[in-house]
Amino acid sequence: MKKEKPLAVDIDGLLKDALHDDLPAEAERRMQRRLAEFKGMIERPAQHPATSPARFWQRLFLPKDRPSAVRWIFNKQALAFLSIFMLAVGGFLQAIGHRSALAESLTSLRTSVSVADSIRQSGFMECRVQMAAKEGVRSDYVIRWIQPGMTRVDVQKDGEVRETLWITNGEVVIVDPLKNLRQKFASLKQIQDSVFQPVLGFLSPALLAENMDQRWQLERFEQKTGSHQGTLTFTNHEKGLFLKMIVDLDTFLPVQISRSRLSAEHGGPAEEVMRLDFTWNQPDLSQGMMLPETLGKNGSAL
Amino acid sequence: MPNEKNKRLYLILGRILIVAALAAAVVLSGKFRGFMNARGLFFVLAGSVTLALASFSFPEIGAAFKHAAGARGERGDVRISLAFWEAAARNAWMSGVMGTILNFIVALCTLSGGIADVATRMAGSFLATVYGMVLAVICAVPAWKLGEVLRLEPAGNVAETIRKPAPVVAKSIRFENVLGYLLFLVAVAWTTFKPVLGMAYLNFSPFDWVLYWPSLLVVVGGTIALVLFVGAAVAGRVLTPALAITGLVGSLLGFIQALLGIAGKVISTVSAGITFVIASCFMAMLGMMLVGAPLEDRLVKTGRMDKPSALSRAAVYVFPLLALIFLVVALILVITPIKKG
Repeated sequence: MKKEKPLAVDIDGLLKDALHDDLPAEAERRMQRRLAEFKGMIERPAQHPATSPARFWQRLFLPKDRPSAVRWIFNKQALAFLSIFMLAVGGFLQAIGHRSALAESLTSLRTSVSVADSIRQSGFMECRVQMAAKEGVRSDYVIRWIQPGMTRVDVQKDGEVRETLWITNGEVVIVDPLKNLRQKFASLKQIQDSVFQPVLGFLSPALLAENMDQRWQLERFEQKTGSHQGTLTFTNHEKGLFLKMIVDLDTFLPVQISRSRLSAEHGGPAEEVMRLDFTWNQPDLSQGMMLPETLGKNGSAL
Repeated sequence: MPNEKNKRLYLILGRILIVAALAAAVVLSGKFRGFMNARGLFFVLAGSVTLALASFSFPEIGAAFKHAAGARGERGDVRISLAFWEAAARNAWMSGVMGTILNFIVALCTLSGGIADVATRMAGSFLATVYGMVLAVICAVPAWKLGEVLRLEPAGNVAETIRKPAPVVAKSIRFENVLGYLLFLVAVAWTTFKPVLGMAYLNFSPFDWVLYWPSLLVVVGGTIALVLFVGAAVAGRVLTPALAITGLVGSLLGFIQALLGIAGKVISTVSAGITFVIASCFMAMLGMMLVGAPLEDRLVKTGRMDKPSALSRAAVYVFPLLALIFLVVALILVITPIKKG
């Protein structure tokens, strides 16, 4: 009978004897390292039977020693069902338009960007501005963007034009027909007349768009189902104002802006101080609309 | 010998001081203010440190620093140190992208200071990725060095390793690992909540910003399904690629929805699509950072896995890059106005 050899054969020694000095030193080092790693891999699982993550997963999927309820939860079929259910519910929620703060912020931002861009692109409009009455006297304005670079603003009190402001290619002229006065300014910043202060932000498409981009803080956008109009709300904390802009979603142009004071209590709108109604019409290019060379009655050109 | 050791230590400290002085000069000069994002920098540093704690023990981290400084050690210990530095590089890169996603979401949801300000803050959020990338390269240097050390290790040391196999950590989860997880969650919460702490009026809870249920369900459900397909035996190894794949699928679905919205000129559909893209990237990255990567680290540490698979490496380096590209596309979609006649 053949005697069995002991298992612990000195493989390293045998290899060294057989391949003595045949291999370069680097190759020998590499080979030994491989051998060491291989031995390590064989020895380790025996020394440390299934600790850590692998055992956790094994227990998760093969929980023989667990109570029945836990076993059912971590059952493979149950997990498969759970994964399909989660995928289906996730897809369904997305399809029906799950409400999310992030999506609403994105909608508000994208609508605001689109409105600002549409305003910038527009060349003409007429806007009637109604101010809250002060001591029983109401002052209204009519702002007209006649053509790019040209704007006319009429200040009306009791239905009568009191003052008119023209902006023509950067030059600003204020005409008071009752006092027969005509003042010229190099820029809007030089205007000291408080009468025009409330409407200074609406004197050109660029100014209005700039306000939306830089000064007004966008709060949210709301749209009623099926409606072609939506409402953008802004706040201007510097001036303590709350602005509500109704937007036509077919053209992305504002239809109405109402400006209210910002309530110190709840941060929302308090009393309305100003309302602007926009009409995006063709410009009136008649002579009466243009800056007069000399003044006649009511500021009209002679 | 101790003199030589001290000399080497002083040399390392000197280099660190020079780099710190240069960095301080750059910051204090004020000329690179546009490249500073304090919240992003904090998140990258905090994320990298806490995730290292989540995967490795204090002695392992200490040994990794010693080996990086040139100290010699047993092959098994050096192998763990190599795994540590590789993991640190990966964590830094992923923390950078994660910081970008978080800052991007916060910038979108806190609409303060007008559209221009929101767009500037969204663009600024990408700085976190730059910080993460720089830190990843710094951490990769010791990994490359230790890889070379292992490759060129003399035969004598190998024989010693055979006699004394690498110590294996018997404990699956240690105190520092739990601490790492907790601190990482604190860092995420701080980055999310900090910008709204001073705000008097909030329309939404900050949880709404980061917890988007459709994405969460799709990413988790898809990952479980993939792991079940592959089998429980290799669950720990495929978790990271599975999360990356489901995140990618979710993002692509979101993009299709957004494109359909653009075609139909419906802003709400575009927004829902973009939200799904961002949230899928966020959920997948969070899963990879909190579950997938630490599991793999432990498998490597305990010798049950030689090194992370190529698919896993591709997942941790390529998916964040794709997420970054998706964010850039999302930014462009948000600030591009819809034209209507």
